[in-house]
Amino acid sequence: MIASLLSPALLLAGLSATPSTPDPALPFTTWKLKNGLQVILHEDHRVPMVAVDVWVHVGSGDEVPGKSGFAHLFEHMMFQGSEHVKEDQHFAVLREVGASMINGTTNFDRTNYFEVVPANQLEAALWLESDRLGFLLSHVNQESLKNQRDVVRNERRQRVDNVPYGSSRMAQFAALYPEGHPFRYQVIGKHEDIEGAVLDDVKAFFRTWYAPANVTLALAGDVDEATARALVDKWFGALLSPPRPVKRPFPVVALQKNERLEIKDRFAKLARLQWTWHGAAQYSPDDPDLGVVGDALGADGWGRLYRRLVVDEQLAQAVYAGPSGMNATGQFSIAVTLKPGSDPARVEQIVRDEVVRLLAEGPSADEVRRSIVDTETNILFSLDDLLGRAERLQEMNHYTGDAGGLPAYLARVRACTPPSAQAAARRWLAKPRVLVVTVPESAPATAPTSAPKGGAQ
Amino acid sequence: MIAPVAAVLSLALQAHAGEVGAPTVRGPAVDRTRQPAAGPERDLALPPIRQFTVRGIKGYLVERPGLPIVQLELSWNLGGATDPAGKEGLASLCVDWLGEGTKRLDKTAFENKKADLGARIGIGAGAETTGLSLAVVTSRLEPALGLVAELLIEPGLRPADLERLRGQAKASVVQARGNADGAGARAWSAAFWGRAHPYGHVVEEKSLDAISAADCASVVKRLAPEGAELVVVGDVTVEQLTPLLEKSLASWKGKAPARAKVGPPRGLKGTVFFVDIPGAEQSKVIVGHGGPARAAPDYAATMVMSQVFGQGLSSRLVQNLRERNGYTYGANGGFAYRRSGSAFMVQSSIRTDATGKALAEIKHELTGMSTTPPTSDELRRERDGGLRALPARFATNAALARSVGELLSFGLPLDTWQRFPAELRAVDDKAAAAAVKAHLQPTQKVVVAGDRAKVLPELEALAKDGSFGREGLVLLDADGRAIK
Repeated sequence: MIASLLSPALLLAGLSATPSTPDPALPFTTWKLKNGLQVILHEDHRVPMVAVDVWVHVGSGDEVPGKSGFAHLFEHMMFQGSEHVKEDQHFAVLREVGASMINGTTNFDRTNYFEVVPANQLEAALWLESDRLGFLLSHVNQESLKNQRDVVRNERRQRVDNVPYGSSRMAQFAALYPEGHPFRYQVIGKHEDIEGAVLDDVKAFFRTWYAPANVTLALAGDVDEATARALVDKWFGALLSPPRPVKRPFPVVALQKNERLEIKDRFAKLARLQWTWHGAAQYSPDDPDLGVVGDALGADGWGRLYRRLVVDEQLAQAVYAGPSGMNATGQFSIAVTLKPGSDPARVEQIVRDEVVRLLAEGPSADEVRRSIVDTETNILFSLDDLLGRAERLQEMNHYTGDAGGLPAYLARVRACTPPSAQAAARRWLAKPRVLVVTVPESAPATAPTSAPKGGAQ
Repeated sequence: MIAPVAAVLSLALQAHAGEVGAPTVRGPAVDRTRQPAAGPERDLALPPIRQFTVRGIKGYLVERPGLPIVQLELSWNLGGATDPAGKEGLASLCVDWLGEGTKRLDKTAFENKKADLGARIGIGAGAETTGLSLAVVTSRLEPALGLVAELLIEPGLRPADLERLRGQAKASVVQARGNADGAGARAWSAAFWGRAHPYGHVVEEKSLDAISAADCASVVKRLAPEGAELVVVGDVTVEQLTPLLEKSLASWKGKAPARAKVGPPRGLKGTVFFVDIPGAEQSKVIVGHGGPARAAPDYAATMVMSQVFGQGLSSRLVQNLRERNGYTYGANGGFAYRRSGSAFMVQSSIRTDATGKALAEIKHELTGMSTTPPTSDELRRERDGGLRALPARFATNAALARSVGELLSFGLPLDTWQRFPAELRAVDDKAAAAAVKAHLQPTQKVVVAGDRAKVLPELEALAKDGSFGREGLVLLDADGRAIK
C-alpha cells in the first residue's frame, strides 16, 4: 500500500481557499398555447443556431403488459414521415437545412426529439416537428412499421443480446420489477412484444399520449421572443388537443429479501458483481444525498471502493456506484468488474464491509465536498452547447415542475452534509437488494503469460 | 411488500383517445405542403485563433466568454505507432502511468486533489499523439494548472502504479477478444494495416508484459515542452493565461518528439477475414480499403461523396441496410483519416442470419457509387446542408477545440476553415464523380466477427465468387493472427 505523502490536515488547509462555483445563468421565458402545448425559450445570440427540443411526457413506464418496448418503437415511427413529410424525409430535410445533433430518445418517463438548426432555418424544424405531432396517423403504414420493428430488434441485439453484461442487466430489472410492472423489460422491451406491435397500437398510443397538451417544446439559441411566439403559434397553434392524459403513477415495488442471481455471459470475459437497490426518484429530496453516497463509494479515482478494489487490492478493473432516478422511482447500484482470477467472494466481502461502514459512519466532509464540486462542474460543462441548455430546462420542468429549478436544485446539492448523506443511505441501502453475478461462460483465453520481463520491481 | 401491480396497471391506456377521423386542426390553415423558406443566410463567422508561445509550446487560443469554464488540450507527436515490435501498448501504458500522480502526491492524494478542484485531467496516448487535457471552472484554473505542471515536471512514476495499470490493460485485452465489436476491430488492424505496421499494432498480454519501467521512463521523458502543441478554448484570454503557464511551467525543459513517418498499409494477404465469436447474434462487419490523405486537394468532394454513400440516415448505405432491409440498427461508411493516408471503412453490426445478404448489399451500394454517382438531390442535401451546418463546428468550447485540433493534427494551415466554405460550395456533380473514381476502389477487404456455424458458409461462398476480391478467405484469431 502507498503511504500518503501529505497529511490530511495539510490537505484540508489547502482547501479552505477553494472558491465556490457561481450559479450558471440560464434565463428563460415560458408560455402555453391555447391547446396546452408548453413552450420554453432560452435566448443566446452568440452563434446563429437554435436547438429545437421536444419533450413528450410519456415513456416506457406508461406501457401496458404485453406491449413492452412500444414507447421506444413509437419514437422510431415519429421519424418515418407524416402527412406532409414523405417517408424517410424527416432526416433528409434536416440534413439539407444544416441541422446537427438530430435524434430522439426514449426513457422510462419521457420521450424527446431534437435537432440544432441554423437560426434562419428554425421554421423548417418547426414545420417538421408540428407535422409529426399533428399529422402522423394519416401517414403511418404497415410497411414502415414492419421495417422499424426489425430495426428496433436489431437495436436490442446491439445494446443487449450481443454485448457483454446485456443479459445481466435484463436479469437485474426482472428481479427488481415483477411481471406486469412497466419497467421489467427495460425501455427496449421483449423481442416478441416488439414483433407483436401493430398499426392500431401506434394509433392508440399517438392519440393518447401525443396530445399537444402533453408536450413541451424548448427553443434555445438565436431567436427573439416575438419571433419565437409568432412561429410557434403559426405551426403549433392550430393543432387540436384532447386534455392532457393522466399519467398513472409507476407502481412502487419493494424487495422482500436479498436476492442473488448468477448469469452466464457468452461475451463478457471479466466477471462482474452488481448490487441494486430500489432508490429515490430523480430530483426527490434524497436524490442529491444518494449522489454523494455513490461518489463516496465509487467515484473514479477517489471513491472508497475504487481505492480498495482497484488501487489497493487490485481485484477490480472498474467500479461504479450511484443512483439513477426514473421520475417516481429509481435505483441505486454498485457494480464491480473483476480482473481475471480475482476472488468474487473477497470482492463481495469488501463491498459489504464498505457499505456497512458507510451506513454506520456516513461519508467524510471531504468526500461530501468533492461530490458537490463534481456535480457543480458537470452542470456547468453540460451547458456548453445549446441542446444541453434546452435539455436542462426540459429536465427541470419535467421532473420538478419548474423549468427554472436549477438554482434550487444546486442549493439542495450544496446543502448535503455527512449526516444527511448517511441518513439517506440508511433509508435506502439498508433494505434488501438484488446481486447479479455475471460469470463468463468460458474461461478467458489468456495467452501464456510469464512474469513481466524486465517489469518494474 | 410488493405492491398490487396489476391493479394499478389496469387503468385504461386509451382514456383520452380521439375519435377516428376527428379533425386535428382548427382555425386558419397554414400551408404545410411546402417546406417553409429559409431566412437570409449569414456568412460563417469564425472566432479568431490567437497564437502564443510559452516555454517552446506552440499555443492556440480561442476566447469564448459566457460560461466560466475553460479547456486545454496539450499534445505531442508520440503514440502507439512508434511502439517497438514485441512491446505493443508501450506508449499507452507508459502515458497512463504518468497520469497516476506526482513525486509529492501519490495516486490517492493526486486523485483527491483533482476532485477537490473539480479538475478533469486526462492523459492518454492514441496511435499518433499523446494528449493531456484539462477542463476546469475558470476560477480554479490557476491551481489546476499547477497540478498539471507538477504532473509533467515531477511525475510520481511509482512501480506499483505501473503494475496495476499493466494488469488493467491486460484485462482490457481479455475483454476485447470476447465480443464481435472488440474482436472485429483487432482483426481489421491486422488484416488491413498489418500487425507490424505502425497503425496496425495489436496489443496482447505478452507485449504488455515485455514493457519495463525503464522503457516507460524514456517514453515519459519525451513528453517535453519544446514543440508540443496546446489548444485552449473558453473563458480566458492569452493575457490571462500565459503568465499562469510561465509561472507553473518555469522549470520544464526539453524537446518534444517530431512527427513519425508512416508508410502505406501492409495488411494480410486475403479478401475475406473471419473471427469466430460463438453464439454472436450479430456479426460485426468492416469492409474497406486504403484512402487519400486528409490534406488532399479534393478533400471536400471526397467528404461529400462519402456522406452520400454512408453517413447519416439519408445515406444510400443506411437507407438500404436499415430502412429498406432491416438488417441492422445502424451503419456508416467513410474515410478514417490518419496523419498518413486514411482507410475507407464501412462498418455495421448485422443480424447474424442476414450477414451474407448485407454484405451483398454493401457491395451493391459501393458499385452503385460508380454507376450512379451522387445525384443533384444528394449533392444539395450533403453539400448545401454541410455548408449550413458549418457553424456547429465552432459553436461550443468542445467543438472549437476539436476543429482547431484537427488542423494541428493534420498539419493544415490555420486559415483552412476560412477557405473551406468556398471549397465545399465548389463540389459539383463532376467533382463528386471524380472523387468517387479516384478514391473508391473496385476491391475491398472484408472483416467479419460472428458466429462461425451460421456465417462461415456464406463467407466461403463470397470469397469464391470474388465480388470483393480474389485473394480468398482467411480465418483469424481475435489477435489478428491467421489460424492454420
